[in-house]
Amino acid sequence: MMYDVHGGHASVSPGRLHPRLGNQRISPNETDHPLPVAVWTTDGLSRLGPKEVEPMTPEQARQAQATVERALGRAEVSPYEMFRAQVDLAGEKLGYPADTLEMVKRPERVVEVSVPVRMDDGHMEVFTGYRVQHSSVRGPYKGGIRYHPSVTMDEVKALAGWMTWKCAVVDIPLGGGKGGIVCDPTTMSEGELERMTRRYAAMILPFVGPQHDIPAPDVNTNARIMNWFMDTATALRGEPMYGIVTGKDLAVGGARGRREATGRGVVIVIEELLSRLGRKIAGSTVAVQGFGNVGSVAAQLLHEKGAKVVGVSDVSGTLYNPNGFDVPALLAHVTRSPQRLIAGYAAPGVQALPGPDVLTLDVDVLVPAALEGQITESNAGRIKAQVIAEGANGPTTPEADLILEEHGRVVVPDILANAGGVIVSYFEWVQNLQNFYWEEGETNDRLAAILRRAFQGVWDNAKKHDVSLRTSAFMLGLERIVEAIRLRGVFP
Amino acid sequence: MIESTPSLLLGPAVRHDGILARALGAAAARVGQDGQGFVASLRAGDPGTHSAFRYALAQEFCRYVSGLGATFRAVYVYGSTMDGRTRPSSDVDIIAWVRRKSDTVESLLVRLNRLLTEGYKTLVGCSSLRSLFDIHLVDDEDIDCGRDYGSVIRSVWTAPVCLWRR
Repeated sequence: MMYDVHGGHASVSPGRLHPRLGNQRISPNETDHPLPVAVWTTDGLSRLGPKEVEPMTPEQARQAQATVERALGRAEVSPYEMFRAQVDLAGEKLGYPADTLEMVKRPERVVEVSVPVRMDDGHMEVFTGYRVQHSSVRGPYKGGIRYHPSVTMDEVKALAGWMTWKCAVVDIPLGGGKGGIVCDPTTMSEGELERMTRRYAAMILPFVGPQHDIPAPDVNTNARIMNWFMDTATALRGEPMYGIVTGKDLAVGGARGRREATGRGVVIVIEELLSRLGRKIAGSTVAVQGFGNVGSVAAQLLHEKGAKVVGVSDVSGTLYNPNGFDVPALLAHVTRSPQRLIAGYAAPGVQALPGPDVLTLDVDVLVPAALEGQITESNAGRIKAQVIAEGANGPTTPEADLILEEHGRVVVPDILANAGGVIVSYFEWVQNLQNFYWEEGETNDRLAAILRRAFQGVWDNAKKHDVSLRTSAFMLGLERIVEAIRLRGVFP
Repeated sequence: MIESTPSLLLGPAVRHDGILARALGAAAARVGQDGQGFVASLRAGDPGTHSAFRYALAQEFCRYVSGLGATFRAVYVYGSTMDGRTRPSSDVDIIAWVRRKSDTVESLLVRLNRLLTEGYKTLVGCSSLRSLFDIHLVDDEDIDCGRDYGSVIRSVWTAPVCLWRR
C-alpha cells in the first residue's frame, strides 16, 4: 500500500505520490534516453591507450593506500567546514546574501582553557577544554559538554552551530553552544573526574550563567557531572546557581521527565508522521535499534500506544518476536541484567538474530537509536520500514539517505526526532529560574505541544520547497535565525 | 569523529582517503609509476600526471555514484581533464545525470566534493584549489528539453565523454 501525502492529508492513493514525503514509483525503463555517446564502464576503460586498461595490482593498491595515508597523515575534513557548507547550501536555496550567511556560520565566541588536575598518583595533568558560543540571537547559548579524547575545537564549533539549529527548528528561545574537554574519562577515577569538572567549571565560569550560557550533559558526561558543575558555580558566585546547567539530578534542580524526554519525543514525531500518512501507531510494527535511554523508552511508549514492537537490538545482538514483545517484561529483564543488556531474554516466539538484522526487518517503523552511521549504502536498499525516526545522532549516512529517498522511505531527521532532550532541558532551565517545579505530566504535555508544532512546521516547509524533511528542518532553522538577526539588527 | 555527531555535519561513510587512494593507484599504474613517484610528479605540477589523476578521480566518482541505488543514470566528463591541459588547481568538470534533482543528491555531492577537495589539497600541496569537482546536475527533463547542461551533453563543441552509464 502506498500513501498519498500531498497537502498533508491522510487519504490513500494508488497513483504517483509526493516524490519527497512518500513513495515514489518510477518504472526503471520509463526514461531510457538513447544518446550518441561513448559508454565506458568503471571497471576497465579507456580511449587513451592500452596502458590505461591495466588494472591495479594488489601491491600497487596497497602502496597507493599507504602513500595517501602518509600524505594525508591524520588530516580530516573539519566538521566545522562541513557545517559551513551545509549553511551555504540551505542559504543558497533561501536566497540569503553571503554576508548574512557568514554571520550565521561564525561562532560568536570561542573559549579555550587549560584545566590542570592533580591526578590520583600525585602528578599534574593539564587538560584542554573548550566552550564555543555559536549564536545568541534567539536566546542564551545552550549545549552540552563532552569528555572524549577526540574532542577538537573544530568539532565543538560545528556542534555548537548544530545546537543553534536544533533550538531554532523546535522554536525554543535558546541559542547554540557546545563544550568539551580532551580527555579519556574511561581511564579516570571519580575523584579525578570531579576535580577536572570543577576546574573546568571555574575556568569557563566568566562566560556562562543562567542568563547567558547553559551547558548540559553530552558524550561521556551525565547528571553527576552537571551537579558538580552547578555546585562549583554556586560556591564561586556565592548564590544558588541551579539554572547554570541542565540535566542535573532531580534532588538538585533536575526536571521530572528529563530521562525519558528524547525517547518520548521520538514517539511524538512518529505519531505525527504516521497520521499524515493515514496511519496510526496502534497496529504498526516497529523495530528499535539500541535499547538504552532513547530506544527503550521509545519501545515502551510505542508498546503502550498499541504498536507491535517485533525487533530490538543492542550491543549484545538482535531479538525478534513476530508476535510482538512484551516490552515491560523485556525492560524488567534488562534492569535485572548486570550489564543492562537484552541478551538472555527468553519468551515464547523470541528468536535471536545477527545484530544488524534489526534494521532490515519487515516493519512499518524503524527507530535507529544506537550509534551514528548505522544505515549505510550497503543496507539502505534492504530497509523495509516506511518510516524511519532518527533517535540517535547521525544514524543515516548521506549515501543511505539517497537510497532511502529512492525507495520512498520517509526519514524524520535527528535534528527534529531526538529534540525532546533539549526541549526538556529548556523546561528544566525555566523551572530553575522560577524555582517552581512541574509535575511530569505537565512536562510531557508541553513537550508534545512543542514537538507537534515543530513537526508541522518542518512538514509544511518540506512541501513548500519540495525538499526532504532533513533539508526542510535545516532551512526552517536558518530562516528563523536569519529572521532574528534581521529583527535585532547588528550592533553598533 | 566520535560517536554522536549529528547528520549534516559529516558523513562517516565518505572516506576521501579510500577514493583518493584508489584513484592514485589506478593513475600511477596507468603511467607506470609507484605511488610515491606519482605524488612527487603531482606536487611538481606535471600536467600529464595531473590529467591522469583527474581522469582516475572521475572514474572513482563514477564508481561511487554507481553504488547509490538507481538515482544516477550517467556521468560525463569534459574540459581540461580530457585534453591534457590540467594544472594543479584545475577542477574536474562533471555532468551527473540523475533521474530527478533533489536536495538529497545535492547535499551528498557537496559533502563528497568538500571531502575530496580537502584531501586533494593536502595530498598535492595545492592550497589555492577551491573545489576539486565542478559538478553540474541534470535530470531527465533537462535532457529531454535540452536545457542548461542537458544541452551540453549533446554539444559537439564541448564534447563531453560519457564515463559511466547505468
